[in-house]
Amino acid sequence: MNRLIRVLLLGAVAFGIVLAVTAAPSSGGTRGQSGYGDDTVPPCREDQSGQEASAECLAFLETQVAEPASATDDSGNTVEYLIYGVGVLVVFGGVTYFYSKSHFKISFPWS
Amino acid sequence: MWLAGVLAGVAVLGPALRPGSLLSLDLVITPRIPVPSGVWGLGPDLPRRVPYGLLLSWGSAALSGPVVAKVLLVAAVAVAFVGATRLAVGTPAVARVGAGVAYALSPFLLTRIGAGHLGVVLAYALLPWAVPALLRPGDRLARTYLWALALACTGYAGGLLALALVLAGLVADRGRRAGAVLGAAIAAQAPWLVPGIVVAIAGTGVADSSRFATRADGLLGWLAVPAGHGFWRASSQVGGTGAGVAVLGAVLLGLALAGRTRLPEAWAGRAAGVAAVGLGLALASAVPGIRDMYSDVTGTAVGAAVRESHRWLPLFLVWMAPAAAQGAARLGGRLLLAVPAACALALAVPGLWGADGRLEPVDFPGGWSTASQAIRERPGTVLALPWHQYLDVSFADGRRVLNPLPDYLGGDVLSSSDPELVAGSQEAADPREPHVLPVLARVASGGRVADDLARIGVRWVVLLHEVDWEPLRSLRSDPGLRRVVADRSLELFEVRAWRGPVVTTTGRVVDVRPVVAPLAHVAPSGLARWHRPAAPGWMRGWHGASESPVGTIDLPVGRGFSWFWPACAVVIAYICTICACLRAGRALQRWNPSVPSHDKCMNKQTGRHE
Repeated sequence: MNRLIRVLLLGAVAFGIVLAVTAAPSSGGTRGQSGYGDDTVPPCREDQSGQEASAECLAFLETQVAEPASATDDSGNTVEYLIYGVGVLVVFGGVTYFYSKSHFKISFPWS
Repeated sequence: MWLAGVLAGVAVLGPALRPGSLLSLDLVITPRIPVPSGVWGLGPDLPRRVPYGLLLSWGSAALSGPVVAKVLLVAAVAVAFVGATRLAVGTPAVARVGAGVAYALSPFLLTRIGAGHLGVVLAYALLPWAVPALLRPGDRLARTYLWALALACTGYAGGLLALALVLAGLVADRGRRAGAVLGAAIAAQAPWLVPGIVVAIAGTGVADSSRFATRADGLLGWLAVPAGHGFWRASSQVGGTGAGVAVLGAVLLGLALAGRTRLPEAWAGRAAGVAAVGLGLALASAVPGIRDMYSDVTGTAVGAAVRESHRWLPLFLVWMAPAAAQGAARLGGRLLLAVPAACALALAVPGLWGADGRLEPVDFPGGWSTASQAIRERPGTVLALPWHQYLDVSFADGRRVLNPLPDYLGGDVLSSSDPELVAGSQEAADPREPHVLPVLARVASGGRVADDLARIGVRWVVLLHEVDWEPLRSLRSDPGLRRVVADRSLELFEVRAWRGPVVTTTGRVVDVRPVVAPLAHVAPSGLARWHRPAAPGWMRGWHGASESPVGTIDLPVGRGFSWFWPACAVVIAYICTICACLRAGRALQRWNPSVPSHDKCMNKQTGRHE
C-alpha cells in the first residue's frame, strides 16, 4: 500500500508539474488604462454626459459573455477537468488512507 | 543555507538587479524615496510603509532608492528561505531545502514582490523566525515582545500576523499570563498603530472591501490557494494558471497533513491550528454567504486593515512548507524527499527572474528630472495630472503603477487618491481633493483655471503624457500658467498667481522655515493661510489652526512655531518603543535558563522532545 501511495503521489506530482509549466502564465492587462482594479477588464466608465459605457468596455463584455458558453461546450475541457478532479481525489484519498492506517488518532490541534 | 537563500533571492529578482528604478503596481521605487508623512501621523496618505519606509528613505539618501530596495528584497527572500528550513528541523537536507523553496518561492511571495507590497514581503520573511516564540507567548515575555515588535516594524501587515499568533498561543496556553502577554503584544504595535490612529482620526476613506476578495473560482481555484495563488487582482498574480497549480497545491497540502505531527512538539499543534485559521480567513472573502459578512466587517475604518483576506495566507504557508517537508520525510524514499522542492519550483518557475516582467528596471525620462530640478529650486505644492491614483505608465512597459509623481518629486504633491474601484471613492485624508475636482472639470472643457489653482495653493502643475492626458492640453493656452518644461513625457506649468506658501489675508507673503514635516517656524503675522493639507491638530504657538474653505490651513494671528501636536504622541510612542526594546533585549541577555527550555529538550534529529 505504501508503495502504491508513493507511486500515486509521484504520478500526481509529475502530472501537476507538466500542467503547471506548460500552462500560460497569468495574463497581463490591457494598456493605457487607469485604476487599481483588475486591468484585464477595461473600466466601464460613463462618459461625460453620463449616458453610456465606452465601446471598448461593451465589446469586452460581449466577448466575456460569449466565452463561457463556448468553454462549456468544449467537451475536451470538461473531460480534462474531470481527470484532474479524479487525480486530486486519488492523491488526497491515498494520503489520508495512509495517514489513518499508520497514525489513526484524533487530536485537538491546540493540544 | 544562507547562500542558497541569497541565490533564491537573486533568482526571484533577476533582471531587477540591473540599475534602474522599479515600477509595478504599488512597487514605486524612485531614486530618492521620501520619508512617508504617515511616520509623523500626518496625512494625506494612508500610513503605508510605516515605519519601515524610514529605512528605505534613509537608505535612499545614503545610496539610492533602487539599490536599497533590491538589497532588501533579496535579503527578504533569503531570510524567508532560511527561516523555513529551520522550521523543518530533523529532516534530511533535501527536504529542508524543499521547505525553504516552498516558502520563499511561493507564488504568494512572488506576487507580493511583483505588486510592491513590501510590508507583506518583510513580514513574510520574518514570520518563520517568529512563529516558535509567538506561539508560546507566555514562556518569555521579552522574546514575545521583541518578535512582535520585529513584525510590527513591517507595518500593519506584520503586526496583525503577530497579534494572531500571540492570540493563538494564549488560547493554547489557556490564558496563562494573558494580561502581560496581550499588553506586550499590543504595545509592540505602537510604531504603526499610533500613526495609523492619528491619520484615521483626521478622517480617511476606504474603498469597498468586497473588491479585494480572494480569487478562488471552483475546485481548482480553491486548491490553488494553498499553493499561494488567489490574489484578488488577477493580472497581478504571479505564477502559472490552470489545473497544474491546483494539483501541486493539493500535493503540498497532502504532504503537510501527513507530516504535521513530526514538527517540533512545542508548537506543532498550535501552528496547525493557526494555519487552519489563516487558510479559513484567506478563503473567507471567497465563500458565498461568509464573504458578505467579511466585507461588512472589513468595510469599516477599523477592519480596513484586513480587507484583503488573502493577507492571512502566510499563517498557513508558514506551517505548510515545513510540514510538507516532514511529510515527505515520513513517507520515505529519496525521490519523495525531493517532492516539496519539485512542486514548489514548478509553481515558482513562471514567476522567477523578474516576476514575469514586473521587475524590469525602468529609467525615468529626462523630462522628469528637469521638472524635479525646477520644483526643487522653487518649492511649492504640485498638482499631479492626469488625475489618477493608478495609471498605466508607458516607459514602464505599460504596467499599471501607483502614480509615481509624489514619490519622485517628494514634498507636497496633490494627486488623486481614488482607486477607481467604486465611483467617487477616495482613500486619503487630503481635504483639498474635493476642491480640485471642479477645477479639473473646467480644464477638460477648455476653461481657465490658474486663479483657482492659486487659491488652493498650487504652484506647479505636472501633466504626464500618459493615459487620458490629451483633454488637459488646454492648460497650454491658459494665460495664468507658464510652461516651464515641455518634454515628450510630461509638461510642467507654473501658476503665475501663486504668491507664497503662507499668505496673510491682506496678501502679504509670510516667511516659513520648515524644520521637520510636522514643525515649521512661521514669521509673525496676522491671519494667514498656509498652503498645505489641513488636519485636526495643527497649532500656531498655543492656538489651534483651522481648515480653510479649500482644505488648507488657516493660521491664527501669532508668531513662533506652527506644529502638529498629534505628532508628539507619535514621537512619544517611538521613544517608548525604543526604551522597551532596549529593556527587553537586556532582559533576554540576563535570562538564566535554569529550567530547560523546549529547545534544549528537543532531539535535533527528530525534532521531538525527550
